[in-house]
Amino acid sequence: MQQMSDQPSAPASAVALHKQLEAVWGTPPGLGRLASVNHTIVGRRFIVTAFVFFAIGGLLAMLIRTQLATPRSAFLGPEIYNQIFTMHGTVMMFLFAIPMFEGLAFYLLPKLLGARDMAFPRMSAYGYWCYLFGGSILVVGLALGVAPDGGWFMYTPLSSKTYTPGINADLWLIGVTFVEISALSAAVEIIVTVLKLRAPGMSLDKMPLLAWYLLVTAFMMLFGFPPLIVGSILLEVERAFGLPFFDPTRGGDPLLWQHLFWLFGHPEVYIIFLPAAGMVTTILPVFAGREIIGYTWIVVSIVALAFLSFGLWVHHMFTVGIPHLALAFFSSASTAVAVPTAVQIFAWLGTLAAGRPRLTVPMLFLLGFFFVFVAGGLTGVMLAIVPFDWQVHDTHFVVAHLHYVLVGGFVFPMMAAAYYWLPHFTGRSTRHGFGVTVFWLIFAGFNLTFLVMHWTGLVGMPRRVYTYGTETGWEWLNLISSFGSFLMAIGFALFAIDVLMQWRYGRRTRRNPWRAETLEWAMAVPAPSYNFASLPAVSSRAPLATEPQLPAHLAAGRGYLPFVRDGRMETLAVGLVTGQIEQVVRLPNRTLLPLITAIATGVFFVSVLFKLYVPALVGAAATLAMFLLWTRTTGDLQDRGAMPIGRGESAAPHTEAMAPPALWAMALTLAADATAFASLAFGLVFLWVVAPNWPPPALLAVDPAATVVAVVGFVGAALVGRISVRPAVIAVPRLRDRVLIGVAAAHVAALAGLGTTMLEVPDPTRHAYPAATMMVLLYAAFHAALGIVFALYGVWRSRAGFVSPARSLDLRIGAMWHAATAAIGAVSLLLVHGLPVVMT
Amino acid sequence: MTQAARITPPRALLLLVAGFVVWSSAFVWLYGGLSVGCAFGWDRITLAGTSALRLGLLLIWLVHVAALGWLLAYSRAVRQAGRSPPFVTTAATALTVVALIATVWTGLAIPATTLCI
Ligand code: HEM
Ligand SMILES: [Cu+2]
Repeated sequence: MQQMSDQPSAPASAVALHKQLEAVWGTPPGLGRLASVNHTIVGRRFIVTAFVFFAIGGLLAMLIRTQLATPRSAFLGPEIYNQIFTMHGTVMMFLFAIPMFEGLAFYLLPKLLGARDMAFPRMSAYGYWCYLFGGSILVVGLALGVAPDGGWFMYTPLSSKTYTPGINADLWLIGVTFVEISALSAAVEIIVTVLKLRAPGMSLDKMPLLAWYLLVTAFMMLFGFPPLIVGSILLEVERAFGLPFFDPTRGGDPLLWQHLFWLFGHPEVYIIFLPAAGMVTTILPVFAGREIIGYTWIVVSIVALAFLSFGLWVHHMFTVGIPHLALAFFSSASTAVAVPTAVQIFAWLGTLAAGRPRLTVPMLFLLGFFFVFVAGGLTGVMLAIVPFDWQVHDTHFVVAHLHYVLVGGFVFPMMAAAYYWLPHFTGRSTRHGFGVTVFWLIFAGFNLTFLVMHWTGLVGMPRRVYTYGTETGWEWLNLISSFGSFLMAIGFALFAIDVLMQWRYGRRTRRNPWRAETLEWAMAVPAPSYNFASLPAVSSRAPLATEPQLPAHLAAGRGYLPFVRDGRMETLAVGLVTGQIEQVVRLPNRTLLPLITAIATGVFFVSVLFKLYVPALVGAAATLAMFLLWTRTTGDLQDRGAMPIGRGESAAPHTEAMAPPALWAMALTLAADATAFASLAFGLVFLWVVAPNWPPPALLAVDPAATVVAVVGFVGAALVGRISVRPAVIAVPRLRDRVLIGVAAAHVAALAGLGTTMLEVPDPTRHAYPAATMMVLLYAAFHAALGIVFALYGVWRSRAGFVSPARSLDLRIGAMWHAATAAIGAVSLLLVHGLPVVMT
Repeated sequence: MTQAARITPPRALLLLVAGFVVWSSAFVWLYGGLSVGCAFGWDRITLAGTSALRLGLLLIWLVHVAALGWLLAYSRAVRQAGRSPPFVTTAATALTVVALIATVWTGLAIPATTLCI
């Protein structure tokens, strides 16, 4: 029996192969769709939902422009106006731009890389539901008239309890955090997919540039979002329990929020821009009719850009009294960041100049992008000149600049991408004439709206004001601006109609209508559920140019994995740098679990929103339990050894590989975790060094016994965790179970030590010192608690037969967690006990 | 002659970003050092004809520049010995050079600007 299943043979015909694969990979219609985990479906869902949120954000923008079209307009009152511009910014940044990037990445990445799906399909589905639910919380709040109203960056103290007593700010904090969790999981998944799930032969230097862009963007999200999540948690804890992190009268500091927010917020601008730039880099060469110039230089510049963009968050805080030298550090990063951007622009222009451009609709949008984005860059330079910045600070000039950058840098490339990949989604061809009309409406409307808005800013109209008088002389400018925005809105409405028409009535397109050279066009369109009937062997950056017959060969089953084995979904993973075949990744099939888990997570967030902490705990526990249930279908009950993968080659299943995708995912999750912890630790140190009303009235009393127990627990967890993955230990089932129980016991000790220490913390509502100390200890305790779960999970897996010397993945993942917990625990103890000694 | 060991992943990937990791470290230490130094008044302590804070910042800066210099030499050696694919070593060397320039650029103001105002 096993012999047979391990020796699958390719079906005789391409059609038979298609049927076999579709039976396993396909998603049934109707309610079955709720269980879908397929990347094409989930990606499409993300894109459509993000577009709906774009429409909502756009509608809010239209309301703003209607209100401002005439002086003394009675259309919207100030409270509603505040909610509307705040929600417009929030929706556009968090519910449109980032999810649109995620959707495109999910849809395209496996196809670009020559894989059959993303690395963790169920995680993608879970992320989608979290996004949908979190976004809905915000939109429902808006519909009920209790939306956040403190501006999209939620500055404290405006967003603190004193000034925003209602639920408005909580909605923002909860809704956005919910969505950010999905963004973090998407980041992990995108990174692992790019690094591991590529076609054989696709070494790092043969990767399509878009994959590089998405990889770098995902890394930026991995390090950029944790500070915001920590900031949001701190603010919500302050609002709900009165722990004063941002209240200067009790040792807090509003500046801490600004630091944490912009630590995320500035990179965010590049997180939005980079994927769009990746689209430009992908589409432009196709229509320029030549390969992109400077592949290596583009890779170098986007990596440099990613780092440098983290070094200038403080430029949003120039007006808050920061020493000259510190300003100099941040200005140096601001100027440096322009260089990699310029390198990309030159690579694009050079490619255009060296090729023979075709003026298609996507190309029109790319030209629009150049024009608008470069103009936005120029006004950015103007804003960087400090005296000028003072003059136009917080006027509509800033609003205009920001839209030139964001709409130019994201929306125009996205429109190009939409027209470029639409035939891939629909399998039908685009109508040139309609698209041209859409372009000109949007382009003219955009420039009319925002070019004029520079002028309104220069004559002094402040941003975020809901009305102005006739004596100001701003009426004409505003009227023109509002007129332009309606033109633009008509353009987007026509675009939506164009898409619907193409989808319903378009002419069938042939495969690869644009004559592109990347792998996503090596399949039938619309894409089959399994992408490739067999996986390609890649030998160049332009597989379809090197091997024009590739699509036919793959469909005929002449690539890798041209069969279904054991009814399982399989794709290949390769060596990270070399692209050599490494493992067969067996993916989980569709299930309702991601949806159920997301609902449990939603119960948690909504309960926190309404301050119902018992249901919240139930929701959190249910989420954890559900995640544990996911693992019932992962892993393997037997050692399989190398399995044939077609073309006379073979590879081990991922369960027996050295570095399976899940191990990478754990490492990346811990990196994000460490960033969150560092943000929290930064908060404590920052407040102590900078905030007023320090030192605190009372310090943490040191309890030597508790500290020793905690230290012993943490060190023990790490050491015994290491022992649990020794081959000699794994080989003996009884021994490995005992060792794992030892790990759990060590975590219990750590937890007991930390708990006792927490009892010694002075009242955390009195001062930011005990509040921050408490949070640091809680952070470590949370890790120890999860450490117990990981250890017992290991016992469960071991007893259920999922573990063998060859299949040690579960235990190795656990060991990573134990080591990280020990590190975080040690640093926490050092901080809470050491800082008082150093600082007093 | 034995061939030196090949640099394998994930270390090959680390080589790509090592330069900018050093830049990040320089940035964090400089900004953090400055903030802490100003809070504790280290700018008012004189040492070797200048303030202790300025001296400390210069030291942080130079250490990072030196680290980058060493890293540059290392990635060039890896490249010449062919211990990693050419694309990785070329990109790593280029990124190290860029990080070195960025780090030098970041610290240029240390000798010249007022410290805590
Ligand atoms: C589609 C056409 C758009 C129009 C007509 C528009 C219009 C406006 C206007 C008039 C404001 C200023 C409100 C005020 O200060 O009183 C504003 C703010 C803002 N917009 Fe847009 N916008 C559009 C698209 C976008 C897009 C695509 C993004 C982001 C990707 C975006 C992000 C923002 C942000 C972040 C703010 C600041 C909100 C705040 O002050 O808290 N907008 N928009
Ligand atoms: Cu910025």
